[in-house]
Amino acid sequence: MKPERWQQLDTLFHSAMERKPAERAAFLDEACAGDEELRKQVEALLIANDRAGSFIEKPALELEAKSLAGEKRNAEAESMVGKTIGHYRLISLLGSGGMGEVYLAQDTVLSRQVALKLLPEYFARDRDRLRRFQQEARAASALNHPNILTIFEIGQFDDRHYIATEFIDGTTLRQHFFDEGKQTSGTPSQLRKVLDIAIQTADALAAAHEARIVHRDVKPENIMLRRRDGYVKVLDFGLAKLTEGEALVVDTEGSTMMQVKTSPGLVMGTVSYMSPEQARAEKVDARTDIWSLGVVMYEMLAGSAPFERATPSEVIALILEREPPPLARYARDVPAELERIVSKALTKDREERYQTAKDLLVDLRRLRQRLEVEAEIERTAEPQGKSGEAKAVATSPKQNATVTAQAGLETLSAAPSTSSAEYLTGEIRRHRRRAFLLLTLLILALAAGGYGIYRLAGRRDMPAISLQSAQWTRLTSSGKVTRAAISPDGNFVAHVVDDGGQQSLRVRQIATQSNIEVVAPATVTYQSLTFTPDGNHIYYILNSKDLPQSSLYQVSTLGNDPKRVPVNLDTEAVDLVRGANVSFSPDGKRFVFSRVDGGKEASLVIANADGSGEQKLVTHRSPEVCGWPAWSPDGKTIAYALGNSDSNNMTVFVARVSDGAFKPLASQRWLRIQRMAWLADGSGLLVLATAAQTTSSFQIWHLSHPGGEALRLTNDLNYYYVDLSLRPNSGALATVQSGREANIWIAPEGDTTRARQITSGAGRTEGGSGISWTPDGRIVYGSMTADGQDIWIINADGKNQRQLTANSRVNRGPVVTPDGRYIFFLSDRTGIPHIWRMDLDGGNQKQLTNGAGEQHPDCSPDGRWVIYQTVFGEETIWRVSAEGGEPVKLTGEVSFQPAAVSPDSKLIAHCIDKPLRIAITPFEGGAPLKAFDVPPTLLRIDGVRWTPDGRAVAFIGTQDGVSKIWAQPLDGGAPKQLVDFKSDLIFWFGWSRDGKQLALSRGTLTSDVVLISDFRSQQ
Amino acid sequence: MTAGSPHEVTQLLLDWSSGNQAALDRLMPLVDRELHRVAHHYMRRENPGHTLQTTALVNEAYLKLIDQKHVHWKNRAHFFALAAQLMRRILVDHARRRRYAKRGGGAHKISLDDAMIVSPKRGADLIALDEALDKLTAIDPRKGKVVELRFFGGLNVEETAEALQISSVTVMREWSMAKAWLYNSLNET
Repeated sequence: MKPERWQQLDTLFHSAMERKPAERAAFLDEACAGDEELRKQVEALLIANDRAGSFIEKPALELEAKSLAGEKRNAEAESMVGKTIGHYRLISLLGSGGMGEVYLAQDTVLSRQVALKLLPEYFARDRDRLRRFQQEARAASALNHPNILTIFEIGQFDDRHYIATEFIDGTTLRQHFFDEGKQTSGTPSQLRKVLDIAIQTADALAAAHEARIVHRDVKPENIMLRRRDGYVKVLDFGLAKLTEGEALVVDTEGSTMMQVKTSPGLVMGTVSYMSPEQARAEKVDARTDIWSLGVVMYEMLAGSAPFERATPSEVIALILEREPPPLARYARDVPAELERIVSKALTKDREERYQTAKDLLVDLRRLRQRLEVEAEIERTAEPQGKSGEAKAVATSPKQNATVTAQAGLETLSAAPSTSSAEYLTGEIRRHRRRAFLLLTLLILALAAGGYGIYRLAGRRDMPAISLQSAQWTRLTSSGKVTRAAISPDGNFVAHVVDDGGQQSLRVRQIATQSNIEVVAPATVTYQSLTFTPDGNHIYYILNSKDLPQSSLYQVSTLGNDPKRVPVNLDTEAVDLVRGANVSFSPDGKRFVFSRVDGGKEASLVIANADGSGEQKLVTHRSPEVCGWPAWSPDGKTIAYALGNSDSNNMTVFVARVSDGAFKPLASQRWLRIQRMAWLADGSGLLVLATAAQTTSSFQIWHLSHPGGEALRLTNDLNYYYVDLSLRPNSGALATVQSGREANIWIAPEGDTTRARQITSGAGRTEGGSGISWTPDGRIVYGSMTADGQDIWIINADGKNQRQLTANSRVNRGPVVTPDGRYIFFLSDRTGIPHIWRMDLDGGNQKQLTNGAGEQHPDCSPDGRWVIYQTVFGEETIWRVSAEGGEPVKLTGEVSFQPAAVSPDSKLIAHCIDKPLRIAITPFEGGAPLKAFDVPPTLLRIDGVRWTPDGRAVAFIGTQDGVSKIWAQPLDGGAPKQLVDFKSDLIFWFGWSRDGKQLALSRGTLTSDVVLISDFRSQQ
Repeated sequence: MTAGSPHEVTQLLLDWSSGNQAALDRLMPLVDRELHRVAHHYMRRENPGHTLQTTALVNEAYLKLIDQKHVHWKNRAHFFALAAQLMRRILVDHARRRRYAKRGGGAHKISLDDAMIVSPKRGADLIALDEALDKLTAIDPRKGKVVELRFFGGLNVEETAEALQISSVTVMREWSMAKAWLYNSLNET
């Protein structure tokens, strides 16, 4: 554009803006003086100015953070896929929003597919509100109308409330707007569509209003269009009740504050559908829904909602005070009658508005009928059909069919005493032609339905893999295995045993249970083991102090001199991919491995079996990094893990061997991926990965190929898995199962000779996630099992063991207040770890913090405060009242370890790193007053806490597989050993209130090869 | 000096303006951290009035990154311009990486509630916006600057006026036309 022209446009735009909207047209007529092009440009800008609303009014950082948050929420929601809620198995995530996530789910009892909406857990906290919602939703579930989404069940499983409804394959009207893009409405076919949607929605509302149910939240997000026929289903009747009565401070960019009684977290856009009475926080009735439908109709016709401004408060002001711009301004061909209907629905005074949805419905139907007649007349008057659009409307069988079906269904529902067959025969007699159409349509609909079911069944390309019903065999019992691989014939398992830092490679013959040592113990670390496809050799990657970098070796399965394979495996300094492996082509002639070059670039490299002929297949640049390749059974594809160090997550990609073209396979994001292995038929991979949640560990997942659907196969809260390999026929998989086992011991006066064990749980870690004494001498402790991390209570003599929490989530780190009234603990039941409180009997569970993630609760000596640390970002110490409320930050950055408050409340003891020291910091914060070195033989310390007299800080120090409890006197003397067990590890400890008894969680870390066979049982 | 203190950010900005590319590498994680911090707050929407909190949080994030109080040099205007330019670059880059990471996956999920994810029509795709802004700047550099300072730099009208040595009224005029033009330009394609 020429500068003069732009200048002209600028001046005209602002001059027009200064005039009243009604005067602008006349002004432009004169000012543009026949320059149609210029006039169009100014008008386009004026319309854009009306429509732009909040566009770019919020800073870019906020926008980007929102997108990021949306992605993270999706990822979190995705991690629920595969889980079972009551009798529903979650198949895939359909969408997510402020009112929870919606999944496609399989009802395992009735064998049908449903849409399952999981309500956010926080809704359940307000019992009153929940009860109101349930009443309303139950009433709504009684609604039986073809345009209202059928509610099957309103239920609760553990702490999660859910609503199961019929599953509609379709899109929301909002999405539909977006897909259609900005189109000028007003063409007859679009007009017909708008009318159809409006009529069906009004019909749904009329039925609901008759049953005295008000929707309260009619908006394009709640109107669904079925994909196959565009049929309307109105969603979420009564759901708005869930959020009603909440006062909300709407963000007004720091100008005026406004209290609005509506849903929480209402941001731009959603206020747009609010009626004036809602905006004034008055009691609403059915007429509110009529207003909102008016807004939706306006938006469908104009392309933007009638009240749009940069901030919610401005939008609300418009709703209360201004008339919307005339529809004709956006859509010239909107019939005057339709404009009248919309503006009657949008009358601010509800007494003047349509009084019932039925009245609105009647007007809309009458208009549609009239337009049809007009189109018919036009068509007959112009047999050659000059007006293509008009002709298309009248003659398109699809359009007619929709109308007929609509009419038919109405009549059907209005004649409940007649069976549908009787009705149909009657109809056929009366209106042969129309009934024929109706029948055809019914058949088509049935066929489409059948096709839909077939398609969905066909899409489930997941093989029936179940590790639960498979056979699990523990092959080793030393508890010291770090890596394992199964041979292609399934007869051998190669594994690495770590004995006090000395690692050796052994091969076990499964049938005879005999072990051969293939490579003798040495001070090295094995990163991975891989059998060659012929089973004759094992390739392994070693790290050692004596080697400048990781190196690849090859050894005969029977154990003849290991030989170095000369490839460059530079894997230094990559946080996301710790470790490397090789994976062979099916013919065994080549293998693929990953390499990081200078920290800037990561590649997949293919080499011949002897290490020659290196060739880069795929390269990713920082912040991306790739690793853990797995060559597919057909030889054509290599799957690999792709990490992004900025977003700090990973996913799975596939690369074509022929040309290196790569693409993502999974939409799932994991925090970390470790090893992957293909199923023999190429239908998917097994992946070792940790979900993107703070409290998860490495578990086994199934990832379908080429569908890319991820499903977690194990969900073990006490054990995690290391390494993974499959027999080529996929009948068995070898992995290393790693975890802790511990029991609670009581040592009187810390005397180990008198120590006695009070719990006995195999496969459990008793006390490993917290020990705290009650004033009356009982022990509250955290227990980890395969099924959950929960809090229990037990008498000091081992009697009266009782579980206090049970919600299939992580509940740990209990701390009892000095008066024995409360237990503070960590729970991630909301999906984010927070500090919670409960009574000593497990009752009255209450969430105390609500930040981005909190952990390590400790109680102030007076019992009034909980001290905790934040999980994300800076790890700082905060406190919150035992009754909840606003948290207060106490100190700056601390280490990852729990901190402990001194008995006099004046000091905090915690760990600091580099070098490892124990720091004493004033309670109010600031720099450490003192820092003590720990004994140099200790590589790590755990469980810092104060001795009962407050004169020393005690901690767990572990060396050579044995833990001791040490005490560092505050006066600076040498640290002393308090408890001197000769074996086993200590995971947690706690003194009784009188300081005379010490409870300890003692046990072992086990790590053994597990063979899982027959896991494809259901196929 | 803790990492990411306004003082450090200022120093890094100065380094970057004098051609030190390494400064950008150090600035990026600081912006990323703020992004993640704000994002975490959006993820937990249960708190009534959270909107206000996150707005405060966004303002705080910008203050940490572009805090004029810590600029002791004469040319505040120059500093604002530099900071906004840099924020634009880092944020658009972030959006690009996100889009790349998302390629093929998760992109077709329906937002059931546009409160969470900004409605595609009203919202702005940072990458497309960045490109449209380049076009606008080519036609009318001052309007481009106004958008860069306000939208990417998070400056208010007064600060923008100061940075460009024009009146607040002019900033608002330039803003309204630029906004309309950009809105059209993004919705036409």
